[in-house]
Order: sequence, then C-alpha cells, then structure tokens
Amino acid sequence: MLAALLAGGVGASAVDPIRSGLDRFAPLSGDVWDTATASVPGTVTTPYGEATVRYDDEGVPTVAADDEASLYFAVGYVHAADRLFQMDLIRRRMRGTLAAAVGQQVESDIFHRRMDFAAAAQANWDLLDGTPTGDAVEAHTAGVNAYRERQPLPLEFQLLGYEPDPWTPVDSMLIEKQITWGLTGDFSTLRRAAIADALGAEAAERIDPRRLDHDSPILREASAGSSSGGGGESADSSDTNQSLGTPHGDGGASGDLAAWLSRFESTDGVGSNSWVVSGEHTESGQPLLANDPHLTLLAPPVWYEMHHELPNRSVSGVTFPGQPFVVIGENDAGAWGFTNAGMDVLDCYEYEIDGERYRYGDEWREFESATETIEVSGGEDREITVRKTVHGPVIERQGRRVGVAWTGLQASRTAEAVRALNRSEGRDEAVDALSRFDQPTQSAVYADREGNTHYHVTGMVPIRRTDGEAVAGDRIFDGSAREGEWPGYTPYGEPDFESDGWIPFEDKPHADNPDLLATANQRVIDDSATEYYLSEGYSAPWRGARIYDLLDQRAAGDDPITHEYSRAVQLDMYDRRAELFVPEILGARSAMGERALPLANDLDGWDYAMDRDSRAALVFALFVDHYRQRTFGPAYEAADLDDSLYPGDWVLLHLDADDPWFTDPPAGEARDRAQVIAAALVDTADEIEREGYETYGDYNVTDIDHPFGLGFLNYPEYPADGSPATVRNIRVESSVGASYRLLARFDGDPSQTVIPGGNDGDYFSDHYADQLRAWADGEYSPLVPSTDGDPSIRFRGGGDRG
Amino acid sequence: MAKVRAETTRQHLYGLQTDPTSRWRATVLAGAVGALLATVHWSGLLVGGALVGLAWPTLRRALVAGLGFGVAVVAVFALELALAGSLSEVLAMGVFGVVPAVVPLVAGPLGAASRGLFPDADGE
Repeated sequence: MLAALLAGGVGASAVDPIRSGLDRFAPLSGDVWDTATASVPGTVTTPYGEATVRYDDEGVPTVAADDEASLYFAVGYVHAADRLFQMDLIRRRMRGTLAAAVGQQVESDIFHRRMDFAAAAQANWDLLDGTPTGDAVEAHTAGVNAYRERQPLPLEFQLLGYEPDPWTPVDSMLIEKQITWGLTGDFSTLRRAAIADALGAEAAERIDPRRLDHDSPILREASAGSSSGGGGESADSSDTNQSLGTPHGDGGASGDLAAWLSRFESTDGVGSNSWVVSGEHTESGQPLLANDPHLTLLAPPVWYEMHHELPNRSVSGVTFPGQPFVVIGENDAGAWGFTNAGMDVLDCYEYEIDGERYRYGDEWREFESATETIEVSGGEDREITVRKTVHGPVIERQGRRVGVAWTGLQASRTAEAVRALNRSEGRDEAVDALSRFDQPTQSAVYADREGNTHYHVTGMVPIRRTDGEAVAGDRIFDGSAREGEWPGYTPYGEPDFESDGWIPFEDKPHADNPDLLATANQRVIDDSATEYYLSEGYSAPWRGARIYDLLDQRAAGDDPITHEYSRAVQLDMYDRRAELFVPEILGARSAMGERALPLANDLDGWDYAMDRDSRAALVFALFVDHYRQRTFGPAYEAADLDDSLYPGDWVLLHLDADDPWFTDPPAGEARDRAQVIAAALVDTADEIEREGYETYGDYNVTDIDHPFGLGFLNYPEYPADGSPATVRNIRVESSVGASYRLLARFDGDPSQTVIPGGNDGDYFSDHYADQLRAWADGEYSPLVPSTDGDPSIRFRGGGDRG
Repeated sequence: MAKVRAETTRQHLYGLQTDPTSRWRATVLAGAVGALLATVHWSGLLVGGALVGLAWPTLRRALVAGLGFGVAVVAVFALELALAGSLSEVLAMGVFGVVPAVVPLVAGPLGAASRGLFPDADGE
C-alpha cells in the first residue's frame, strides 16, 4: 500500500503537465523564480568598446560610451534586460506568429500575415544595412541577444513555456512598422463607405463629415508653403455612393469588413498634444516645448526612458524598446516631439476578379499568392492564402476582397532620421533630419537653445492620380481602372523617394520660428490654404482649441509663459465638450423625471473640470456614451451596423434639437432630443447605481493591463483626472492616454518627464509601476542623466558579435 | 557476510534514530543535503524528505519530519525571495505564488513516507 502510494506520487510528478509545472514553479529550482531572484550582472563582455550603465532612482538608465556602436550594444542589452518579452510580443504580433505562443490570437495573425509587415520590415532593413544607422541597429541587436543568451528569461516566457528566437535587425524594423501602423493604419474610407452603404450617403456625410467646423487648425494663419503639385478633388456624396457599389460584381466594402478591420486599426483615442512657445512669450526668453503622445496604455509602457551619453553628445528622452535611438526627447542643442498628423497614407482598391486573377488596366494579372500555416498553441494549425496585388496586400473577409496601399509597406529612412535628430546640433540639422522621417506622418515640433522653434509635417504623403490627375484618397478606388495610383510607390520595396508622387517636404505644412504653436491632432491647415489633399479627417479640436486658448490668453496678458504654466496646460482638465453640451442638458430638465433630474442638477454650476473628486464629471462622462447609444443605437441596429462605427463626440454633441437624426431618423420614429437626453441620464443613473460610483475618480482610474490578462501583472488602479477630450488625457474605456509627458526647457533648469507605469517590464522589479502614481497625480521627474557613482553595469571588451 | 553487514547497518541506523542528539544532527544534515539538491532539481525535495525521514525511528515521526523539511524549504525560499526584494510580488501572484509553498509540503512527507518501507526501530 505504502509502496503503491510512493510509486504513484513519484510517478505522477514525472508526467506532464505536473512535471513541467514543477520544472517552472518548484521552490529553489523553478525557472519562474530565476527572474524573481536574479539581478543583472555587474560586468558584461561586449564585442564593441567599453560602456557603463547607471540607473537612477526610477530605474532609468544612463548609458555612456565612447562611440556609437559601444553605446548601442549597451542600449540593446538594457532594453532586453527590462523589456525582452514586450519586444518579442510586438514582433510576434507583427509577424503573425502570436497564436503559436499564446493561442487564441488567430484572427490577429491572419490580418498581420495578410498585411505582411514582416516583408515591409525586411525592405526597411535592406535599405539601412551597411549604413551608419544600420551599424547602430546591428550593435543594438547584438546587445539584445547578449542578454537573451546569458541571462534568465523574463517571467512571461517561463509562464508560457517558450524561448524567444534570436533578435534580428529586421525585428527592430518591425518595431517601427508597429508604431507606424498604430498611428496611420486607418480604414476610414471603408468605415465611411459601410455607413453610407447602410444609411445612405447623405446621412453618412452628416454624421461622419470629413471636416469639422472650427477655427483652431494647427497653422492658423500660415499657408502650407509653395504648392506646385496637383491637389485632389474630394469625393462628394454621390462619388462616395458610386464607390460603394459593386462595380465589378465581386462585392463592395461591407460593414463586416470595416468592423473586422477596426480591431486592427489605431486604438480609439490615439492622439497627442504638443506645443512650442518661442522666447518672445516666455519668462526666460528661451523657448518651451511640451509633448504628450496619447497611445495605448500598457503594462509595461510603450516607451522606455533613458539617457545616451557620448563624449560629444548627450541625448535624453524615450526610446521604443527594440529600437536604439531616442524618439522623443532632447539633446545638447534642442528638444523635439511628435503628434499624429492625420495624413491620409492608406488607400483601398476594388478589382474586377476572375478566379485567381484580377484586372489591372488592360491586362489580367495573377494575384501574387502564398499559402501560410498559422501555428496555434493548444489548438489546430490554420492554413491561409495570402494574396497581393500591384497595390499591396489583399484583405479578405467573408468573400469581400480589398487591395490596400499603405506608405508603411515600403522601406523608410525613419531610423536614419531619428538617429540624425539625436545627433542634430540645432534647428537646421533637425529639420534636415525630419525631411527623411518617411513614416509615420507626424506633426513634429522642435525648439533649440539658440531660441529657434519649428513645426513641420513629416512623412511620405502620396499624391494619388487617376488618368494623370491628382485625386483625393477619400474613396475606394477602382483598382482595375487604375484609379488612385501612387507614382513612386513600391510595396515591400524601396520607394522612389525623388518621385513627384509624394508631397515634397518643403510643401508640407510647416512653420519656421512660430512664436506659439499647438498641435493636438486637429486639422493641420485649412484646405483652402493648400492645393494638396492631405487628410480624410482630423481629430476634433477639443484639446487643440483649449491649448490655443490657454496659450493665447497668457501671451496676450502681462504675465509671460513659464515652465510652470506650460505644465499647468499639460495637466489642464477643462472639458470643452461639457462647456458645449451641459447647457443643453440643463435646458432639457423639463423633460426629466425624478431619476434623471438629480443628475442634471449635479451638472448645474459645474466648472467643467474632469476632476477625480467631481460628481458632475462622473455624470457627464457616463452620460456622453449613453447619449450616443440612445441617439444612434436604434438606427445602427436596424441597419446592422457595428457600434465601432458610431460617430465621435464632436458630431454627437453638435446635433441640434431639430437635426434630422431626431426629427427624421433613418430608422424608427421621430424623437424629441430633450427626451433622448433625459433617457440617457436615466441610463447614467442606472450605471452609477449598478457600479457604486460616487465621484469621477471611482470610474476614471488607471485601468492599465498587461497583455497576458493575469491579474497580478496588471498595474494598480489609481483615480485619475482628465478625459478623452481634455489636454490631460486619458480614455479609460480603451486604455489610451498620455503615454509620456515631456516638458522641455532651455533656461538652465532640467526638463521634466513621467511615464504611466515603470521603466522596467520585470514584474519583480521595484520599477515595474513606480511612476504610475506620479503620472496619475500629475507629478514629474527631472530629465537628468546619472553620471556619478559606481555603474550598475560595466561593459568590457571580449565578447563575440555573433 | 552481506547479511551480517546489512544487519550492522540497520543497527547503526536504529541507533541513530533512537538517540535524540544523533537523530537531530542527521535530520539537519539530511535537510541541508535535500535543500541543496532542490536548488538543482525539484526531485531534491523528494530525496530530502526521504533522507530526513530515515533519521526518525517510526513512519509517523518520519512523516512529521518530512513535513518539517517541507516547511523549512518554504522558509528558505521565502527568505531568498525576501532578500531579493521579491517576496511581496510572489505572494501577490495568486495560484502561481501558492504552488511553491505547497510543493515542499507535499514532497517532503511523500519522500519521508519511504521510511515505511523499513520496520520501526525497536523500542519505538
């Protein structure tokens, strides 16, 4: 009996999954605990020159070396030490190999395989290989692999039970493709077409207008510069309607396709703020620059803070883990930042199709196709056919096929440009660097210690042509008729950078030495001020107009703009949506019953500040979504349209009481807007009661999760201020917000920064989430390199570059 | 001859098991060896439990000693984590944090159960 018990117990431990569980979780020997007890070694061999790493109190490393290769090897090493799993996850997502590691991500893998970002990244590397930038990337890659080979793998690898493949320069290029896709991968054309298809072109134009009526563009007085290229006629409603048809009998764009693709587009709310103020308006007489890019909030964060020290250069700011250079930050000469510009760099095409052929002009071409197998962890492998046309990948969904052209599918010089920014010694060199920042299209702001300021739209923007005439990209093109061609475009290859198919850098919206300029993803420039077609649609100007208001107000007064004032602007929580619509809610009180009325009264006298302690902010924040649902829900449901296609807040809150959406909706009976408002407030009251909310801070929390979905890896939840429409930005529903806050100054005091989380992606680290509370509370840390004291890591010669 | 040698070994073992000082010395030594082995592979927890159990004169007391070995391993592991500054993080890991505490408490007595393959020492 005893022998049987012993044999059974010991035998069971030798069988999977018990054995592999013991291998990973047994105390003292379990692989999982290696990372809980390990520390980065004090000395690391390097095939390059010597380097040192000193960490500050927040785990932000200062990497110092005598030359670039030595520096970037060490940068790669610390990237891997702190973020290796995050880096691996990104490349898996972009290569379409996520399901092999985590299972259940087959749809994501299908999309990413079809887009073939990996081939685009390869093209990028082919362009950079052998250049000084390529050398830097190779040194960084060697550093990543040195850590990967020599040190315990991060906890996530142990939990999933796989080891990462060697890091490659192409993987670094994939990091760039990932952020580029996240910022410019936009299927607005398909979404708009799906809405028009379901509700009619007129209704679609009203609820999803291409331009929002406001007077706060980024460039308020300037023109876009000399315009020599052809502009583009926008598609009017009837054009759009025509494009929705099924011109060649193979099906038009459908709501299904648009809704499915929305899962892989930019996350809702991705945007950013930035501004520059020249010495003309500042207390010190030196410029100020501020930037806070709004990206998905993740554990660990998108950005990795660090300082790069070379004998003749000091660069501080944030890098993308997996890319060697500082993307946003400052060096000895100046500071720079980016916001999304909203340029239209993606077009969709439909074709006349015959089996595996599509018509392109006068000829029939075979789809370039390949069969690929998606490996699924814990499930059955999936086989898909990946097709491409002359324009790029073919996206397919339930029999619908759309060809996609996107500038990001080409090789880019962006890494070269960012390296040049790091090395720049003033505005002229910085602007020259920006001229090679091919993707993503961004609004770049720059200021230097000489007092210069600059704004420039960066990135390749195609000039589409049909029969030689420039056309707008706000429609689905007939690819078979060769509509909307992009001269110079080479998907998965090197584009013709000198082609006249791109808006010249000099012609892109820009401003030399602006005294005061603010960007928040709003319209860059009035369409009448440029002959080029730039964008299918910009973000609402809630934030942009507010920043301009605050800066204008101060500039017009007696008090100069100070660093502290710039900080107050970055943390401003005044919600212009509330300013616009709360009076409408209060005006509808006569239609309210006893459930809605108290909530409306909560809004009376409110200062429109989205403060965590405010009851009114809670009511308003929840109301907006219920009001959207009440306003558009019935018509969308009747038309079988996905709620991901709902209009944004600008359109919703600008619908007058006599708007046809209320008086003559596409589906259902006419409604009184006051009644809709009252009903939405009742819904709000129900939600507040159900969730037990008291104030805004009960709802508006730092809901920042690790991609794994394991509770202990998620960040703690702290109450936060701000909203999706305030300068102090957070969108809790989609976990988007200020992914980095930078306040750069040149008056001798240090610039200030903070990230939403911690610099170290190691769950066991003290720096896993140590900046999160400060971020939520609007606090910053000085951006100062650590140059004193013993280094934490010394890199000494002797390693193999392998 | 071999029979005589085995009987002599058993007598030595019984002597060790019934003498309190020797028993505790052997237990500590066996526990240390087991813990050392457990840093290399989890089967060291079974071996450690078995060695500790051998130092005790009866199966019942061997099982208690095996459990004690398991508790000691958990304590050592907790100390290691605490020194590395990771203890609170491991405790927050839910089921993943419970596993390393449960495994020695099962493996120790399981290994010590091998003591039952031999008769109890005389006089116990």
